[in-house]
Amino acid sequence: MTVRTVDRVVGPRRPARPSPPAARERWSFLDRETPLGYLLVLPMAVVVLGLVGYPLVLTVWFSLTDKSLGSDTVSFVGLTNYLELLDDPVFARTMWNTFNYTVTAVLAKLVLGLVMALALNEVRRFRRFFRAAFLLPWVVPSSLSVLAWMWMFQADFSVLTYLGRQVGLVDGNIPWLGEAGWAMAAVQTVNIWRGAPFFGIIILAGLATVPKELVEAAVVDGASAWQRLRYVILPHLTPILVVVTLFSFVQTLGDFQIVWILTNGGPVNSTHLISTLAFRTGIRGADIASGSAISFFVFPALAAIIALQLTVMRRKAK
Amino acid sequence: MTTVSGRAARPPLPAPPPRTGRLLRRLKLGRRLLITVTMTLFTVFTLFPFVWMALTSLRTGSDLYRVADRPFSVSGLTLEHFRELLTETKFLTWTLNSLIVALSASAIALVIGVPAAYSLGRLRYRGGAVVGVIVFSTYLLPPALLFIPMNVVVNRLHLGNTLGALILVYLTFLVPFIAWMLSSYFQSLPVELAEAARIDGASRLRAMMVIDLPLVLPGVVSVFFFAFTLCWQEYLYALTFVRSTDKQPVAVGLVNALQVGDVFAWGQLMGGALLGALPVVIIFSFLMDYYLSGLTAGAVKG
Amino acid sequence: MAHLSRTGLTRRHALSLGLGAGLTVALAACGEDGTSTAGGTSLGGASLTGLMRASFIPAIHELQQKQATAWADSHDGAVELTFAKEWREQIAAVVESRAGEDLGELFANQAHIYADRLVDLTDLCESIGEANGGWYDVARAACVVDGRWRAVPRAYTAHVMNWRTDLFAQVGITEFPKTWTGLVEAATRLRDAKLPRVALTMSQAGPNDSASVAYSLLWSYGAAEVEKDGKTVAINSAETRAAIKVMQDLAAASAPEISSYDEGGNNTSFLAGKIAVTQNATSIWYTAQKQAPDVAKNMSHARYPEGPAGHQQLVEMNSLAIFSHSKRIEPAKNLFGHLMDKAQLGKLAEIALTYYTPLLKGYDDLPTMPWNSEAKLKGLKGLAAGGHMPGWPGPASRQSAQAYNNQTIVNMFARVISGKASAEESIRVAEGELKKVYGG
Repeated sequence: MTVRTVDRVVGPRRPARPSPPAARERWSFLDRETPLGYLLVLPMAVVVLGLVGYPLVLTVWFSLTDKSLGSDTVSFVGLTNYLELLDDPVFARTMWNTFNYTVTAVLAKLVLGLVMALALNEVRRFRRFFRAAFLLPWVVPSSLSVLAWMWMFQADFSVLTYLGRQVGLVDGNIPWLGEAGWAMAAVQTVNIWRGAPFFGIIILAGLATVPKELVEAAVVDGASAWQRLRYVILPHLTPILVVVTLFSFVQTLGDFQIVWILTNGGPVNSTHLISTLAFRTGIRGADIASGSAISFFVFPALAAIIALQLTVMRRKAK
Repeated sequence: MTTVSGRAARPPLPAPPPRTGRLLRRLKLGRRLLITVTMTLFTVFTLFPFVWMALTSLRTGSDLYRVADRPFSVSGLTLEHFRELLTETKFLTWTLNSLIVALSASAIALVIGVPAAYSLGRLRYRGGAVVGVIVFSTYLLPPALLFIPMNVVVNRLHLGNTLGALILVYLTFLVPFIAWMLSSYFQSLPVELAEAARIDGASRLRAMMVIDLPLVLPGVVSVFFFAFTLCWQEYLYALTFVRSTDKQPVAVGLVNALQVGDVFAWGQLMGGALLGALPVVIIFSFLMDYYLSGLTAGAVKG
Repeated sequence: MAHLSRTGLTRRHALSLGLGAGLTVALAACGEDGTSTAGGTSLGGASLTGLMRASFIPAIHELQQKQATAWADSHDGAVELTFAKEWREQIAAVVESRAGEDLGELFANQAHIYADRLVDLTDLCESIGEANGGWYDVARAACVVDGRWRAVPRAYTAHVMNWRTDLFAQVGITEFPKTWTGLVEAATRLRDAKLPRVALTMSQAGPNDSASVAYSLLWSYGAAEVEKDGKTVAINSAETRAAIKVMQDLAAASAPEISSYDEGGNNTSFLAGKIAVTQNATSIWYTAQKQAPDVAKNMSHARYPEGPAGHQQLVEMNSLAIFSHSKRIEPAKNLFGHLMDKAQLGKLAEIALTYYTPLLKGYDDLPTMPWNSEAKLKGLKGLAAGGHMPGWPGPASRQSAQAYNNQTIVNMFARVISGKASAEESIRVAEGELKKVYGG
């Protein structure tokens, strides 16, 4: 396997040699890591920052003013919008909801994704079917799949309630979206349903990179399946688990559609997330100043995630 | 395919002592049972909503309201909802729009993101981490609000109400995503191959192109696929930047056409959800083989 | 703000250079920019574009587009209207960036929110009012900002009680209760007879339906969120307590699903025969005629019950506005005049089954209007007389729109229904939220 790949890659290298020396010298600064590094990262920086820079600055500015959507009279108010949020019970509840939603969903997706990948890795028959089946929730646009869940959570029409009644678990209707506890569980379930396959497929790819020799050596040494997982496979997967978890964390933290469509933040604000509250305040309520301030409260969490990501990247580079 | 599990490649184990043979067999049986149960549970979890969508979409309008009491008995199946979708809405136009946007945006994002990933994951230089932080921190901004100032940008570029607006704006989350995911692939490559090439006289850039890039190709393919799906499902930018019905992507067009007022056309909506997913599923199936052989090739890392 | 926009412009140019030729060319190819200006009301070959609210009757969309096209044909141009359920976000984006469509359909009191960027339509509105028997007060409240009309109050969506005549007959009631307490009585009888129950939505997931019930009940008991000055929060009152008490009694006899319904949930339940009463527009009946004939036959509509302060009702306003960035303001005004003409508006009201009810008194007695021509819509005439915008008796304003969107009043009732808070606690929470909004 290894050998074949190297052959394939080394092949086309040879024509490189006869390039004229003059040209090589002119471009030789590109052989140093610093200029090349900057050059390669430059297009990304230009495109992303160029496009996002202005909106970002504008949003920060909004959060420091009393700007209302569509209004032309704007005055600077300093940190008032932020300070007002600090003693707003709805906002406090939203922060807790966001934490609960994100942490629960990401952990569940990580565990389910891991199990999914490990099981998929062992299956020999119908592999393609399973893989396609597991990925389906991820590929359906969520604007549509969330509607399917909405239909399954309908007060009087929930097929889930029906199934629960059939096996005798419930009597009457389950208030899927009408009671705080159920509603949070419902939106988390949809997020997990949608996001677990992403973990599963990425981890599956990671499993393929676990050196077989290591696993086999562990088998010969009499390691149990659990020991192999714990001491051989998981350590090897750590980098990929970190990347995929962090990415999912960011995605989940900014999740909007599931809650907005299913519960609209209710009942009584018990499922509002930072993103949905920012939307309600800033767009529907037209108070874009306050909405912008709300949205910046994801900053500490994201900053921590990014710092973690960089640490991991740097440690690996060494 | 079998190489993924590594089973075929494994040398035969020494035959176990006869006494433990039965135990081992029983363990193996238990393991297979465990796997079968796990797979079944996952399949039910992931597919049930789709089965339910399909069942709903095949019901006639009036049958729908009898759902509550006996959801699985269907009187009179109909393909009417699908016919209406295909003939009375612009479903095919929307799908084409989605394809154009998703393919162009993902392709452009790859061209920009792959070199950045290489730079961030493979090269060591001062300031690289800072650039990385700044770019990734654009994820700070929730689209739930960002669409307002972003629309100003779109209009200044004279891209209002065009697919070009989406292609451009999607780069803001696709490029960091690609750079982020792929940089870890670049990191995990063995340095020796590229160094050998450099000793042979290849420039660093050339070593990247001919040595490293082919090795991370599986990663590129999978990242492209996920970028594609991110575009396919994006909603808020598509809703607000592209407002003409015949220019909308499928995720917005379908919802707009079918979720009118406060009476939801559940049958059509569910049919639409299924059809809206179809192109991605087809693409995924075509990509699948390549994608999977890619996964195994990733095993080169040692 | 203006200054900020200018610096944005230059930065944008720098960026488009930096993007690289290939990308720019590719994107420019997809681009489109129409900037023709014509004098007078002629479009000079150009198109007027508009962002409209999606309604449940597809024929409503077709009719509006047809009427607009007929006008466009005689004004040398075209009109393109797009209808979307989430048109509010589209309008927010367009108005804030001052580019895009020329006109739009505003929801509730958005005329107050976007007033700075809407064309003054005072002359047009006054003349329409004069020609049609005058506007209802609520129309003025919704669209007049600082003395100028910023939108044409075309029509409101009538929220009414949808009720099952056959089920009520089984408990000995032949007419829909006139008062809230009468409704509580009916609800109790239905519950005790183990029949499908009353179900008025009171959930955050169904914002328009819930607000309609919450504000209407509150007002008809003489309570209000704010004083006439639009600043002093007035929710903590004996009247509010009385309204909450009625809601508690009603909820106790209602279907428990009222806390779960989204905007369409009550419709589906009613269509399936699961509930006996729900508040809604006439969309249920429209659908029932096609998909649930048994329900259609046995249902009727009634106005909201009265309280000690009479019949007071939240009005769901749909008004037409021209965005000030439009380069075709005169043609757009002329189009509005055409659409508000009796021939056009009358036709719309006729097919819309009170989903679009004009706010002009001259329409009340026209024999072709649904409330006069349809037996099941009798009694729905002149609902706008008791109609108000959120924030009443204070003026409609940004603040009242915010309170509406925060769902403060809805949640005040919902908390009590769920048993999570006592009436006193719930009022205090609502008072806190309102004070934040109204700055008191």
